Amino acid sequence: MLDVNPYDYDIVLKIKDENDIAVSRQMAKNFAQKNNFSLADVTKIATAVSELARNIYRYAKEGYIYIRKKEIGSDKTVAIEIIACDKGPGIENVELAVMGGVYNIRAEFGVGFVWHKEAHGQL
Amino acid sequence: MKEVIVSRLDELVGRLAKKDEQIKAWKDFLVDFSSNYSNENFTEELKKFLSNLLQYISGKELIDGIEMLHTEINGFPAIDVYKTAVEVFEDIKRENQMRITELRNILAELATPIIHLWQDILLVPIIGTLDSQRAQNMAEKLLEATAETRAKVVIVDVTGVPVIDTIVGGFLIEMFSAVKLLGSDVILTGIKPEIAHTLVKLGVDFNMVIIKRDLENALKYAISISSEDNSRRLLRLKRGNENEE
Amino acid sequence: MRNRVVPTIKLYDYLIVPIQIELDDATVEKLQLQLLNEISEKNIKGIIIDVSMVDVIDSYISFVLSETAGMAKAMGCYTVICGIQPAVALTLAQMGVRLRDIFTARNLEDAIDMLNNLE
Repeated sequence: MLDVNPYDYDIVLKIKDENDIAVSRQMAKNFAQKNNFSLADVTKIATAVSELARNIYRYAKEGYIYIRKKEIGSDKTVAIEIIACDKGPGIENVELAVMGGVYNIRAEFGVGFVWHKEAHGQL
Repeated sequence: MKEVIVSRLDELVGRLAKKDEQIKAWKDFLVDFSSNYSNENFTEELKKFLSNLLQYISGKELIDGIEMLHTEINGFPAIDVYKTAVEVFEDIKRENQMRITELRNILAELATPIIHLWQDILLVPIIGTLDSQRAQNMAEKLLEATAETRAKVVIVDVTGVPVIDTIVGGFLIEMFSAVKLLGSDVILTGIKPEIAHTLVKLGVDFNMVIIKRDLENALKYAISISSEDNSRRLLRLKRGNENEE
Repeated sequence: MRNRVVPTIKLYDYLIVPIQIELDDATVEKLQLQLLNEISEKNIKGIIIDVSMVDVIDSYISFVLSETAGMAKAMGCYTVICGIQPAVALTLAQMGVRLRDIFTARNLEDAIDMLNNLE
């Protein structure tokens, strides 16, 4: 099972209701805006969270999305880390599940999965 | 300590550096250092002196110099100086990073002009290699410009692009689809023989856009479709939709 | 009218659908039913969906919109979408989303113009 300490994250979203999809989308959007990401990045981040939330709701019924700001690389590029955690059935074909190569999956078979996308912003 | 430094100034500086400007830099540093040593805000001042000094000498020279001063002068606060030096290096690094980001932004702007060529027509000549960051910036800017000017047609000229591999091809295809989602058409032009060769070999398919031989033809066509009424455009779109299915 | 999630405007034979609310899954599904009902009740020949107020369109929303357009097409009605925000367009394109059976227009005038020429 993946170790995620909720206290390390800026936002923790519980997904168990269809409404939570729209709520998580909005929260992610505000968070990205607050951290000065470009409009295109804000939209992408919000869309990614929306997709993740829906996957949780559809396939695992409930789960959590963790969001935090992160500085990566030697030049401290500001990124947003999004982790979705659930106890869903897992992915049979990871290749198929990864869309367009934009997303980077760390799979934990049988215990749900983690989508991890880092969007780069300029500060 | 001040007296020691002042009295041995020339001797110390002579051992610290060989080149004229470095000698002067060390001298200034030592003079400033000793005359401000007892000040309250010495740490702040030291930062300034060190950054002046570091314009003339390298980090290695600084370390050697401080070490020498530490052994020669009783009570020379080497550790404090090192600490401050690290802060100065951090500042320099941050400054450089900012400058790089700035330059990158300038480059992105210079390298992808978006020209409002004609009523309802935008021209985007792409020059140089496309990496993901640049492609992303370009796509964002082009889409903003397309939405803002309500352009009917966007001409993308890739004459200045040396290679189009699957990755760059993918960027372009994404950008073209996005422009089409705004309700505008895309004309692609400037594909050189070697690029056409690799495109087909790699299976990159630009079927979704109109391709014209050169800029002249592209412009002619753009003008004709920007002035056409919607019925002809719809015929084209319908045909396009059927092809996709 | 009962069960309308989005207020619509009938103009000639067209139905203008300005979406000004957050689209969650349930809403977009209700919208689909609403539009199909309105097409048949009001004898609509073309739907114009204006999404200029929508900040996020994810894969499911775009799927339902395309699906609705397909259903409308089966009822003899065209669907035009207009006002997609640049950032939304880029996100959709980069996710590889296709809006099947939907025509895209630059703005509302363009959309009406398009529908006028569709007969």
